[in-house]
Amino acid sequence: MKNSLLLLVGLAFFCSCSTNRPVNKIFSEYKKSNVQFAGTFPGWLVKSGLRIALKNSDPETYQTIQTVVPDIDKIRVLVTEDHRPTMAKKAISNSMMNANYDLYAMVKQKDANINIWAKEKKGKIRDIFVMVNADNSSVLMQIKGTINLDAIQKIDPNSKKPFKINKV
Amino acid sequence: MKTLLSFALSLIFLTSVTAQNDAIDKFFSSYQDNEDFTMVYVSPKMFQMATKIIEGTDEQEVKDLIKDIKGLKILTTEKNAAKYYKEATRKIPTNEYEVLMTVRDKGSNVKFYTKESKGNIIEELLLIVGGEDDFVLMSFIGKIDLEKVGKLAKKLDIDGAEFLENLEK
Repeated sequence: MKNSLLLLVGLAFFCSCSTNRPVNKIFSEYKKSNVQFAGTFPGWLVKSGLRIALKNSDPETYQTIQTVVPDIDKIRVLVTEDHRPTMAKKAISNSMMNANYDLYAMVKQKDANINIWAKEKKGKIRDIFVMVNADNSSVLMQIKGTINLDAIQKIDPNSKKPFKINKV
Repeated sequence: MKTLLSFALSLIFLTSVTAQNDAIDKFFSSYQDNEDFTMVYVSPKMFQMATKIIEGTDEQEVKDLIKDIKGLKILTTEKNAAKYYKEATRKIPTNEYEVLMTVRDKGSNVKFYTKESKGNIIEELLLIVGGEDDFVLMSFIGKIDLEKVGKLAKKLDIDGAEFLENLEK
């Protein structure tokens, strides 16, 4: 019984890692270049920072952020320079699709490109991965959590209720 | 034997239809990694997301314009425009796409093609522009309302989109 439980826990851990594998692999690949900035920020830090930054913004923007931010688990960012791509674009694309990421948008001009991937579950976005390459600089950003777009629709921009500034 | 024959015929038919539709996709795919080309791709999910975000805001007009659009692909270049224009127009499967309009505007040749599904609904609008310095291939997929696409063109800040305003006329 104990062994079966251990096996199940191990399997669950393995499954959760494997679906994130292509993103982890891309981050690892880009980390080999000249890293200018790298960080992983937990959800609570992101929320606190945004509250401070948007304290004086308009109520609509603040409400939108308040609605989306509480369910963000973490944000991972990597900025590099002089990146020499070793992973083929097709390989990146295939590995992302195999891990159930959908390509939401792509813009490419000369040697600059932006790719936005996202993973949805039950109508909610759980994972957004943005990859920006321009000249020799690259920015990778991954946002994990639950982004409920239906909740954004319910925001009333004309609401006269004062918006809450929740304590950290 | 009869079932097998019917199945084989269906498979051949399906393959040929798919192959013709792939001609446009192949054209996009063959040049999307070419550095001379600018490529824009917006997926159906991105349009869905945009529609949800816009809902209830002052951008209701934009929402009405994009709610039936399921996808957008743009391919453009400033090199060898005439060559790519000829190649693109040659590759359009004429039994699937109809010429909606042809315009000659300031030295640029513009062709609009539509692909209709049952019930006269336009499921794809193709725009091909071949000028001296510009080649543009634009594909809108969804339930296309030509008037709305013409209005959307005014909001799109993309080279070649201005030709879509001709649809309103």
